Amino acid sequence: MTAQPPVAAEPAPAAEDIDCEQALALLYDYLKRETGPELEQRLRTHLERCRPCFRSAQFERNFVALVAGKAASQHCPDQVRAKVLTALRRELHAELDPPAPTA
Amino acid sequence: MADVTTASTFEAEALPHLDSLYRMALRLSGDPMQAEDLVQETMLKAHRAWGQYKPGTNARAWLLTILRNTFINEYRRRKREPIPVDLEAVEPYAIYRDVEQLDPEGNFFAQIVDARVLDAIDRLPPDFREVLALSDMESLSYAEIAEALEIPVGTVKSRLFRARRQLQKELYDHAVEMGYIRPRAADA
Repeated sequence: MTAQPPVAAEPAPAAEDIDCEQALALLYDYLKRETGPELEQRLRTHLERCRPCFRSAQFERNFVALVAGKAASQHCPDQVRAKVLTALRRELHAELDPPAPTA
Repeated sequence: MADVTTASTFEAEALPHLDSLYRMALRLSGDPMQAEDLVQETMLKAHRAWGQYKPGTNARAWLLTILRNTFINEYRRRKREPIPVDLEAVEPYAIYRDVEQLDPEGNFFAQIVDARVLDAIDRLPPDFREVLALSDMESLSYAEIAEALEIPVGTVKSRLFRARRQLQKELYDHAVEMGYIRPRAADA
C-alpha cells in the first residue's frame, strides 16, 4: 500500500493530489504526453514533490530517450533511397505518358 | 488522376519518412535485402493510394501502416515465426529496483553501443517489438499504433509496457556483463 500524502491543516491544493501508485501507473502515458493537460499538470505537481517518483520518471525518460536516439542513428541507405526514387519516377512517367497516345 | 502536382505532393510528404520506413522494415523483417524490397514496394503502393491519404493526418503513421500490411501479407510467411508464448501473462521484471541505489537515472543505458541496443530490440517478441518501434522509435501516438495494428489502445499500452520492461532487463544484463554498472550488492 502506498502511504497517503500527509493531511495538513491547511486548505487542500486546487488540484486533487495523485498518490505514488497512480503516478507510477500513469508514468508512461505522461512521458508520451498522452494524459491530457489536466492530468499532466497533476502528475507534474506530484513529481515535483515526490523524490522517489521523480527519480523513477527520470530513469524511464532516459530509457525512452535512449531508444529514440538509437533509432535516429539508423538511416535509409542512399542506394535504397535512389532505387525508390527511380521506381517512383518510372511509375509516374508511365502514368503521365501512356504508351498509347490519344488524339 | 496522376499529375505532376500530385506526384510532387506525394514526394514532399512521403520521402522525409524513408528513414522511418527503412528502420521499421528492418525491425519487421530482420533482413536488409528484404527491408529494401519492402520499402520500395511500400512507397509504390503508397503512391498509388495517395488519393486515400487524409491531408493533415500523420503521413508517417499512414506509410508505416502500409508497410506493415505489406509485410504481413507478402513477406511474413517466408520466415518462420517463433511460437508465441502467452506474452500478456508474463509478469514484467522491473530493473529499476536493481539500479535505484547505484544509477537511479539509468546513465548506464547511454554507454551501450547503438548496434547492441538495436539488436536487443530485434530480439523482442514480434508483437512487443512492433509496438515499441512504432511508439519509441517512430513517435506514433497510442491511437495511431492501435489503428495501424488493428488492436485496442489498452493492448497497445500493455504491450508497450512489457516491451520496455523486457528491453530494460536485456540492456541491464548486458551492462552488468560489460561492467558498465555493478550488479546490485545482494546479487553479487
